[in-house]
Amino acid sequence: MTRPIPIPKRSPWVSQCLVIRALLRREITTRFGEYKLGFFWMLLEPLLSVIVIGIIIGSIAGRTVPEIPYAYFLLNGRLLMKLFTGPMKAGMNAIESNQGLLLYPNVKPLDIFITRFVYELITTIFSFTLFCVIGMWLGMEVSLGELDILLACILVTWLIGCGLGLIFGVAAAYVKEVEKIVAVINSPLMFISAVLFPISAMPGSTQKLLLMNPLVHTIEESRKALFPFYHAEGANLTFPTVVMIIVLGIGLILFNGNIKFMSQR
Amino acid sequence: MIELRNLTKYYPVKNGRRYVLRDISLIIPSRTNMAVLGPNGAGKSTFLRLIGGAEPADSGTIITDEEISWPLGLASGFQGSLTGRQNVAFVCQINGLNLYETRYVTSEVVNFAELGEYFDMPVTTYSSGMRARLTFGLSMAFEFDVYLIDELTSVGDSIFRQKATAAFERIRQRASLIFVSHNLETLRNSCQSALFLRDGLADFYPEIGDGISAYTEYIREYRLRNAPKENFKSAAKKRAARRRARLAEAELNNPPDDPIDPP
Repeated sequence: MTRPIPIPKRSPWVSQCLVIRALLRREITTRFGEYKLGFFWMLLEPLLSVIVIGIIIGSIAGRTVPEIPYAYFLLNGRLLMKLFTGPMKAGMNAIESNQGLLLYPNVKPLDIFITRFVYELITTIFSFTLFCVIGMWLGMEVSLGELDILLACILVTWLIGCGLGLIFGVAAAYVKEVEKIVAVINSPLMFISAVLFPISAMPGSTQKLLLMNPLVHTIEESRKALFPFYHAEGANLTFPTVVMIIVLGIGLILFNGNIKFMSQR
Repeated sequence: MIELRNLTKYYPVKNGRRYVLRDISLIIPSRTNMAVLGPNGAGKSTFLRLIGGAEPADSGTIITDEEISWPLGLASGFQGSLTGRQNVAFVCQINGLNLYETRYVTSEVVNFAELGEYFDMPVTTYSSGMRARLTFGLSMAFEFDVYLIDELTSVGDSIFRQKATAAFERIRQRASLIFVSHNLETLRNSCQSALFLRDGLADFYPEIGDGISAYTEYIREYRLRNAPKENFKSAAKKRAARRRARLAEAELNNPPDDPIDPP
């Protein structure tokens, strides 16, 4: 032992960014380190599950949406939904499975949540890009003119998921059953989020009901962004944005109020 | 110097709260190796986590101008599926070291821990002694003013213990220890002062000898207080067992030919 290294003094923000970066690296190595094509799996994993379902349902349902190839219609919806459920599920056992890390004073409980959320975002954005590139390569008419709207859809969906992830994360820390309940609520989500069918295919009254779901808005809007001829009836981005602000606000307040409980073992 | 001001920490238990520290104010002077004494469950590890900033207190504050390590114990913050090398890199990264410094720390750990090829194996495959070496080597590569050590040296072999003692000697020039161990001899050899924790109380003894005698006195009293009850219980148990044995024997010798009780 020649000379010990002093721990550099950094501002809390920089330190937090460094922690999150390190946690992200660790998350990726632990999840994919043991696979031969680790990095490819990171990109393909979200896409593969989507493709399998897409092929099955797509072949049954056939072409029900004239403006978009049905497989693509479905993939888009599934990816956005994953962006929503991903952070929500990841938040629930985030602390539990990373308890050991709280030993290091630099690692704050929120960092663990942020890491998991960002991980979901990165993998899904990669998959989304891959999905668009493959589509264009296959000769689909994917429009890249409204990438800003697509990005807004992605971010809003993700942030709602993050807010719910925080809320359920805190709730599950107190009552373990929350995990089970959320799983049950999750299962019909695909059918009420316009993943399988366009909202315009629904009768008027059902349409109104379904439009209460912010996911319907972002999914429909994102389809419209990629395929400009698509009819996204009644969908807008204002409603999901308001939902996002409320949910994220509640999530952060709840988390902040229970931070002591969350970080003790 | 580490100052605790009105520090309270408790855990919710079935009926109410169990206090680890109840409104404790004290000053731990710098440059003194402090032993933390106390019976099991008194909160020694929790105390280290509080000091190390790994766990929030319920009320009160800890004021210090010293760089304090994270608690170094067997419940380490290592990811089991990652290799020792990857874990070392991770700890360097969360502490904001650059690539060059990380490499330096890694080589220091390689030299100290002497894990050989195990350094590139997942940490789950390590024995507890190897884990302790890794934890210890890693923390010694960082410059802290106070090292929090939680039973870390008790699992190692004599080679590791000698190395640890040598490392303690070396860092004595620049840093101090807060040391949790149940081995009183180790504590007596490497510490100058003591903190005695029990039932939410914490007493600081500037002389380690005083602390240890207070602790052993407490243990003796505890045994005395609890001994008669234990004896009574076991005597009753023995009596019951003897009675059962007698009954079984009687039954063997004259088996009941009629299962129904005679009127």
